[in-house]
Amino acid sequence: MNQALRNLTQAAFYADELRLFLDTHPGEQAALDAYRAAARQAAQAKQALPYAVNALDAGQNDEWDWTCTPWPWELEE
Amino acid sequence: MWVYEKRLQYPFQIKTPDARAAKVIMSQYGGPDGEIGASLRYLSQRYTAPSRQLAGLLTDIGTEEMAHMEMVGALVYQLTRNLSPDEIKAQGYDAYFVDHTVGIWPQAAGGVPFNANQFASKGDAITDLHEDMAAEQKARTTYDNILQLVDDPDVVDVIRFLRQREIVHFQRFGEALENLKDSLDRRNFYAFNPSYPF
Repeated sequence: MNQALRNLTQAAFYADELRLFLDTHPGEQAALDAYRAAARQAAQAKQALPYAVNALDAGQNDEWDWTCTPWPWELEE
Repeated sequence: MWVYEKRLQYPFQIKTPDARAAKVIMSQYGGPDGEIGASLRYLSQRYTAPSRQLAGLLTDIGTEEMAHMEMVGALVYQLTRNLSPDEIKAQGYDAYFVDHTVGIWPQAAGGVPFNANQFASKGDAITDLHEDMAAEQKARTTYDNILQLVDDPDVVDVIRFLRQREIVHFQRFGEALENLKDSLDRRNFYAFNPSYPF
């Protein structure tokens, strides 16, 4: 896994975890601040992905590469 | 609605095929305590949740379970890549292979197909939350059993991640149950259905 994808995975996972915590602890301001920071970091990490893996969302690049870049279950050759 | 993001929640690359491991891991795809049943359970239960807070938790955990379903499918796929018919036979995958080749289909390790009877949506939030907590523990036990049967460190790492999520979800559902009880009459938590107060 390249470093950019690792950064995205980590930030997005932290956001996922905080989101569940906030669902049962909606008054925890520190968790909300951490969630917003993690979500921002994940969005930035996504922008920083190399072109070859950048099509995590459809329509992000000039070409329609959504169906050209690897699917997440594929093995790197 | 949902939007698909083209990545695994916890990415992995399994280098060594092992159909024997795939056969038992597949149970967490379509088996009795698998991730498909988990996502359908929570995403079905949420409509009659008596609070928006509980509906939110069921939505978010149900969504994460869809990501886990994808991870388990990807594991089975990677573990059954490039196997010759002889290897399929030697690794005990022939009974699955004859019906599905190496396609991904929801069944338990023993071949029992996925069935909605493997989960409950009772329309009673207290009943459903107890079901949810039991389900998370049953899935955790299944992952523990898988860990007894697989030894590739790359596979073990992914199974441990999924096992840990069951524990976190159990904790969150436990908190949701406590929160729900706080909103009910202390003298008779279990006498009435908070989702159908007639």
